[in-house]
Amino acid sequence: MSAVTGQALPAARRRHPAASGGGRLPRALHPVAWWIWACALATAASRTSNPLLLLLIFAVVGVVVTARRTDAPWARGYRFYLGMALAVIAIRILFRVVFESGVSPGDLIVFRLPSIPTPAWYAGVQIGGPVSLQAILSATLDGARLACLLCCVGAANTLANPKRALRVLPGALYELGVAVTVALSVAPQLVESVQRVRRARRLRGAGGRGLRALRAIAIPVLHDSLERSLRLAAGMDSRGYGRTGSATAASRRLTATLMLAGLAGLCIGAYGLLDTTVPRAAGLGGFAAGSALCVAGLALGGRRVSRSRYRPDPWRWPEWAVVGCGLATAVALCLNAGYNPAALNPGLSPLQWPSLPLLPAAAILVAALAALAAPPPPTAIGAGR
Amino acid sequence: MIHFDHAGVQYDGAAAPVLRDVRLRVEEGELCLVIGHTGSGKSTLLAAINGLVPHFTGGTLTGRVLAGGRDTARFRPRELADVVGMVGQDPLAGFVTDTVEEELAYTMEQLAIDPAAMRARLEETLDLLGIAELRHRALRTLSGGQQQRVAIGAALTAHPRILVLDEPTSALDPASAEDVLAAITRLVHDLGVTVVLAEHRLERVLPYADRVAWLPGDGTVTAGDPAAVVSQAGVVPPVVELGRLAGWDPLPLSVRDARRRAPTLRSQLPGTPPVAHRCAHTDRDAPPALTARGIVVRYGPLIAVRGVDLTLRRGESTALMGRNGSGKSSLLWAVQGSGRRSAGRVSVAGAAADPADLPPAAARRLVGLVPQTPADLLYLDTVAAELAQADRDAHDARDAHNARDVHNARDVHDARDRSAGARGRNAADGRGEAVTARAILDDIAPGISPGMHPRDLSAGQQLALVLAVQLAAAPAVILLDEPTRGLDYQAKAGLTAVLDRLAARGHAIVVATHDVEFAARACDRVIVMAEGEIVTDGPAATALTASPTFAPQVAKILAPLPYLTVAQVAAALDPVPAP
Amino acid sequence: MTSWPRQRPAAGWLPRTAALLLAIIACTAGAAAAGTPASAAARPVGDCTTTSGVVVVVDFGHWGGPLLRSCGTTPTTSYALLNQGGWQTAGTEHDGPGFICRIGYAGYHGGTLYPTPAQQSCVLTPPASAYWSFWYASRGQHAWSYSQAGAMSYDPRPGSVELWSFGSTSAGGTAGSAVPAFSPGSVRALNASPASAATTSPASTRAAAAATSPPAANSPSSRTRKPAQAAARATPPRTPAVRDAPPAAAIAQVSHGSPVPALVALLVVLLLAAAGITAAARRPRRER
Repeated sequence: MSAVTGQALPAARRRHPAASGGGRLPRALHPVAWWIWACALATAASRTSNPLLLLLIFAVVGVVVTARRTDAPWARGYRFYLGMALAVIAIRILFRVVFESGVSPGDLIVFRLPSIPTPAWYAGVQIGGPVSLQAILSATLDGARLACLLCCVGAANTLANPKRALRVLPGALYELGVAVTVALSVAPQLVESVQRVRRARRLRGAGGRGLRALRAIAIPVLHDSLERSLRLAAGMDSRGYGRTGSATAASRRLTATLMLAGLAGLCIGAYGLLDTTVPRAAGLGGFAAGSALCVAGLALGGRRVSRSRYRPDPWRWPEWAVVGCGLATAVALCLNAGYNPAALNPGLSPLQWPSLPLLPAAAILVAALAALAAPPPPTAIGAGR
Repeated sequence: MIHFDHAGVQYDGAAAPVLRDVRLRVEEGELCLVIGHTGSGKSTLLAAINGLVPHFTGGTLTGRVLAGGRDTARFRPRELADVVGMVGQDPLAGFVTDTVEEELAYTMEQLAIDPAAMRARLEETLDLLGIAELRHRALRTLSGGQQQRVAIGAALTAHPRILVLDEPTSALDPASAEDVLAAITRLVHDLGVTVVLAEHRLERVLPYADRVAWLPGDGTVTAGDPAAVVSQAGVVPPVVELGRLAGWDPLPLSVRDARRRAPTLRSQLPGTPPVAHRCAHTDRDAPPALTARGIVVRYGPLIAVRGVDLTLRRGESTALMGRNGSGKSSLLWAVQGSGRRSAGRVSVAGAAADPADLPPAAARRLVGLVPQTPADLLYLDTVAAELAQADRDAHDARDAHNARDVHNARDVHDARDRSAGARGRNAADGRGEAVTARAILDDIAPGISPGMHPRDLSAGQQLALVLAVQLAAAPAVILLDEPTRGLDYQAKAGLTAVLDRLAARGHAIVVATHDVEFAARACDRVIVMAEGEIVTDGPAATALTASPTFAPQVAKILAPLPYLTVAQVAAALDPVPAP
Repeated sequence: MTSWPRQRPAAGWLPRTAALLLAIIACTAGAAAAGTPASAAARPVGDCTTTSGVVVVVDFGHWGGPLLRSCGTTPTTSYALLNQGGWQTAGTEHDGPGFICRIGYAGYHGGTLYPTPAQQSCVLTPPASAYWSFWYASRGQHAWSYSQAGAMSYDPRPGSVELWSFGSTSAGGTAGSAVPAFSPGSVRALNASPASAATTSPASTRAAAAATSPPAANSPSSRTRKPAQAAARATPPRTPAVRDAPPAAAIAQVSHGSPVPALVALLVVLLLAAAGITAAARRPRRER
């Protein structure tokens, strides 16, 4: 059945050359390019609370995802991220309505909740009270920023196969990547296992509630997954996973030490940058030192790995173009040059129409060019039914 | 190529070694078949070739095992990966990646093979195993046979000289199993790969074997020419049994060889078998034990069962056959009431309500089901605890059922009759008292120590335990979903005896199975399903002999005579004189 | 190989939950009155006495400005005190108006709210290194207490004085640049009965403060950071100029802006959506 469709499809595409991107061969873009693009857009979104700019970012991400996602099963989950984004906004509004309902004079009161007085030792938290339009709007915008970040990450997951993204990890982190890949594969098996055991519970006549039900479901599922993981480990061992090549014990120890020191340096640097009481130089210094140590550890660890890569994703001009689009947006919104930075965060009292700063808006639209720069997605026949 | 030099394996904490003083040589390009009943050490022997024993599983290896010239004591499995390829029973459990192409490439990546050579090897392997059109498919969407072939391909891309397969076709239906075995024999004949294969269903593989290694169970290995070893071995396919019975020498190992000798035997046999293939206990006068009308099972857009009608009689044993995906499991679950049923009604004799409308505790007293993975029902620490829990579940259900009957009765007389009938049906031994699960288990599979952990039991023992748990509720109808998967001949014979006894007591039994030999011995009636509908429904004697695919070996050999089992042939050759 | 399909969830849970939520909101929407305090009123500074009224002091010294004093009647909240008589505050987007992020007075620099948007965007909670800290001293207290409660949660007692000071503080308000270096006595109302503004001139109150504070022992150039509970001993180099801030008319609201940018943005979004739909329609469809 799928073979028949397979022969029909290339013919269809030949009749509509425009559908294949003007004659460009469809291929999957390098996953790291999509991730950089998405993270840059997320950075840009975190810098602004202007509803118009956020709306533009949502729209740009939506267009690029629609135009360039594949048909694989992992690429169909974008609507769940949208659902999660809506949930975030709803939760923010709910919390603001119930808890932080302080009203400033001049606000437009929408409705009143009964106010529950809080004891003195719990002062600082108001429950109930009047709810103003400004409060709802500010909660919406706050939630919309987080929702935008979620959608950017979701777009990266939809556009780039997460497992292929893990394959580009440097050699020293290969085992970590494999562990994550296996965990991603095992998760649906776990879900299936739980469903099967729950169905089998009914055969024993037991209900589905209570602590005993939990034990009756958890034990077989855990046994199942333990057995499965042992079999997987035996299989991977038999297929050569973990060959150490020419590494000596001393070089492995050195690699581990460098990595640990590098991670510690990164932690210290991150803390230094985030805590405002620590001088900035210390934070940056820690960060730089930590990065250098990590890179050294990765390089040293990568030398020992004897492993080749089957059909690695190429990095050509579409990848550069996509990365460039994303970085342009992030840079434009971070540098605050050429426009009034106050326009990025419009105030809500007094209530007024938001303004649309031209340079940031243009920068966000530039990010949409990634949909054109990236090659059309491959539609392999019968891929991931 | 493979050399076991006085090798022995003993696991930590075990009383006796699993293997001792094994002397086995497998030459290059041979297909070596390893046979033996469950627990005799076949898996250990195969894992020792790879180095998994002792490096992965632990234990002590004495003697030497050489694979491709390398000593497994000094080389870990990952260092032997370019010489020995290993394929297990469950292919899905061994897959690391998402798609077929990536899975095939994974082994080559681990061995650091040159990227240019990788592509060429991958294409060759796809063609060799006939999976070229599957290359972009996700692994979870493939059928069992396709998955197994991909697993073999994943081991083959390393170009190993030895391929070890541990029961590759046990989970497959006959058609897929044929595909896999054809691929394996092609490897042996075209590539000259040394293949070591352990298999329960010998009848498919025995014709192709160059050497057979038999593990009697005491830790030794007897290896040699197939016909010679098989003639002494305990586990034999029906072809060999028939050959022994007819005194053919040399023993034919395949149906084709046997058919060449068959004409003389056929001339000695009467046209119809003097005895039935099994003693039927079907109660034709009683009302049917279960009647199902218009069962439809629908999973979204997929229709698994389309309007099936089913009638089961007391004492009747039915085989439900059909390829994977034909709706057998869905039908059984829908009839039991715990599975999805989109339409249809089921009525069980002696109960007013449809099992699907009752709570699970009450439904299992009408229809009991043993699922495909029986271990899903076991969650306690010891066999004794499981049996005690089964007694408690049955007791609670019994009270609930009786109370419900009293409440639902239209008048008191009706209720009294019904509860009396229920009490009567509780008895497995006709005394009006409930029989404990312990007694049932001892009846089915004696010798299971009550302190053992259920997960340590063999597949056959686990099946017996779950069957005892379900029988504790004394249902009138028992359904078993693929019980023969992973069972050796001995266990299958035991299961046949158990089902016979249950049928004799008046239960209606349905067994979903792929195993034609088992169906020929254990069942009176055969139902064949395809695409959610019933294609064939008739007595086993006619259904199994009419179709060439679903015919047991004896029927294939002695066609057109309608003989199903070797016992029938034996009875025809030496009729027992009437008293 | 065999994938067990999910059971359908119980139908109708979503409409039922939504109906329940709407019912709750509808029931409470016209319910008992909220706990807003009685309307407070702004008064001329002289109307605050030692036993009635609350004096609010805001220190604009961070921007080189003076201390501005106002007076309000009780019962009131500190928030209401800062949003009447020409005073205006702005909150943060994250916390709402309850967290005071900007303060401005109509009579000071034309009502500009400090810190300005260029200095603090007031989207997230300002860091502890630069924020408006809230201090109070009740009747009879001679040292500032750091308030843990926010402006909306604190009801000042009659005769007390409040101070809003911009800068950094530690977690308990024990150290930092925002810790007030002067005592409450130098800014609170010292008259026993409502008087005209003349008798409560800043000079007299400053003299009173100098009289009550013990002689300085440290050099004037050093800026001592003492715990707020101890009285200020050293005279800081910067003498806070105290000015009165009588009730003034609030600055008129700016215009609401024009909806044109919003419409333009909406148009662009619609164009992008159309492009997306076109791209989706032209994808080769796979047969199921």
